[in-house]
Amino acid sequence: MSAPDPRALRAEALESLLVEKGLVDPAAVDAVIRHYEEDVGPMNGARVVARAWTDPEYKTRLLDDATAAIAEMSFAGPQGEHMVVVENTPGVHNLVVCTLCSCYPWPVLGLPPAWYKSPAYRPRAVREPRALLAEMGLSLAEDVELRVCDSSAEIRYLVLPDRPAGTQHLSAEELAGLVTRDAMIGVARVAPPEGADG
Amino acid sequence: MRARDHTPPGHTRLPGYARGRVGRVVRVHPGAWVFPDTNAHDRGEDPQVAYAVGFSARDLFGASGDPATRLHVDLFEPYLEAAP
Repeated sequence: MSAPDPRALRAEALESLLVEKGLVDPAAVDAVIRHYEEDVGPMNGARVVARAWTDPEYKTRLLDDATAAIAEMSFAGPQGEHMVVVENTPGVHNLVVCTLCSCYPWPVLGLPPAWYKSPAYRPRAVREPRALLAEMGLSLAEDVELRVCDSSAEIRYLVLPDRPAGTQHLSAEELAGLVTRDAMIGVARVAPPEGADG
Repeated sequence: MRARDHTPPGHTRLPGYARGRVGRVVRVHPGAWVFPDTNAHDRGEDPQVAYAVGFSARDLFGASGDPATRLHVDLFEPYLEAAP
């Protein structure tokens, strides 16, 4: 058996102390964790993206005032108070990073993956983003403009990915099933469904 | 606009790579925003305008910057000055 992760031990020790001193209620901590594990996550953002793909008026509202358009779908809360949605097009690809910490749009994507917070991702997303994306499996043509959004203030960004070819027949619900967290951060494309002829 | 070469002794949200670099405002974020440089030190919220400022990777990193990459950085007004 491997030794326990010292960070996990430290977090546990801190939690025990906070509970012992009556500063936090363990049931509240469990409720927050359960909320972000079960109720909030990339499936929310995927529904926003799928609706934008299938409802042009919604897409216009989303690009104009993302906070309000996302709230229409009942997604709101901490780290989603001020949203901007950036649209990928054949000529422009957007990538989101927070170089200063780990700012991330919780109501639509849940909690950030470990790599998003890592020193391997954050500086390279600014300094050599094309090489980084290629390593993550996304090769961009040289003439595609890459826009890197650094969430350095209170605004949180969501990428509206390109709708894959061969999906005209799919419903918004089916489309939402194709949209991944990574595509909404901008480190991947949305793959067409299995068997699509493109 | 030019991002000031602003290196306060305390907290700031001006990324180091943008300091002293010239960019263009691409979006004004509506509303007034708590200024982290004062708020983090109990000196009040000092509300400011916030902008998304676009920089080319070439302007940020010189010849090693990718010619087709732009950085959009959210910056508070006190971080910026007019560039000729």
